[in-house]
Amino acid sequence: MTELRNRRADELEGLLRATFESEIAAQCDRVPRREFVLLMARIAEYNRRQSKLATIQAWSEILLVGTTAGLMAFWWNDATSGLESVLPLSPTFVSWSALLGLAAGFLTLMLFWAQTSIRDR
Amino acid sequence: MEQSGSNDDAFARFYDATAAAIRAYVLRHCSDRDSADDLFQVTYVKFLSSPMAKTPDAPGARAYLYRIASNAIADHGRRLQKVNRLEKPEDQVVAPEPKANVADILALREGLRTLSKRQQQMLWLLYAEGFSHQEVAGIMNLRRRSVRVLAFRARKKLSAYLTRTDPTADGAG
Repeated sequence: MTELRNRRADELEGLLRATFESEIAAQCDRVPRREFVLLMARIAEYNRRQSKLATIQAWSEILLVGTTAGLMAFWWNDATSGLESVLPLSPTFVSWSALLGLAAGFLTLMLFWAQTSIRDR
Repeated sequence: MEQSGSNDDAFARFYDATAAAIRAYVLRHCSDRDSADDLFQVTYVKFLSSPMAKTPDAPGARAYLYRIASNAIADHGRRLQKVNRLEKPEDQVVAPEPKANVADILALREGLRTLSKRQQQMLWLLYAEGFSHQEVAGIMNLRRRSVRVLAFRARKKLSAYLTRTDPTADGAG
């Protein structure tokens, strides 16, 4: 073994470089193929996207149930008694509530469509 | 993560230039070979999902890759709650055509094991990759001045170890 006692800093650095270089050289034929790494990255990306879709689906389910229930409550109320006959409401309010009912119906349809399209992916 | 056309070629060049070094780096700083393979994969998958994947030829791409690898190693270490790495990973035993004396290299490897994981990482980044202190500071989340001090201490500790274990030194004393 060469003398290490009085090894100067640059000698030590040279030795460090040689050691690390030999370790890197030892790995040259052991690295996975590039195609494999790219495939893994694509799978990870796909999983990430699926996870996002699952979250959207879960939230849309809750919203779907909520809006459907709201819509049914509106229709039920409208069909059985009629808001204007029970409460002294102005015609403006009644038209607003009808508009709200329509909007809830539209949202329900949209959520149903989102659910179906996510499920089909 | 959309790889296409010239971007594919750029990544191919980048991968060919960095893969062996990154694998050696994670192998040196994690507990075993299987974990090294996982960390290697995690490093590139994260790189490919980052905006930097669009420009792998950019000057900072290599340092960015090392930053991902260093974070992956740190996470792995935290998971395992291990401070020291495996005693003797098989990949590090065989070194083809070393430019320096084999005995010196073996002694140095032993000496490196006496350093902390962070010190070893720092020496690797400085001497295997030739990063500047500024770049190492960025990769390891340290200040530039700290890198200088820590690197000096690591070299000093390594030198002291090599001197202690040098049989010719005992004979001379």
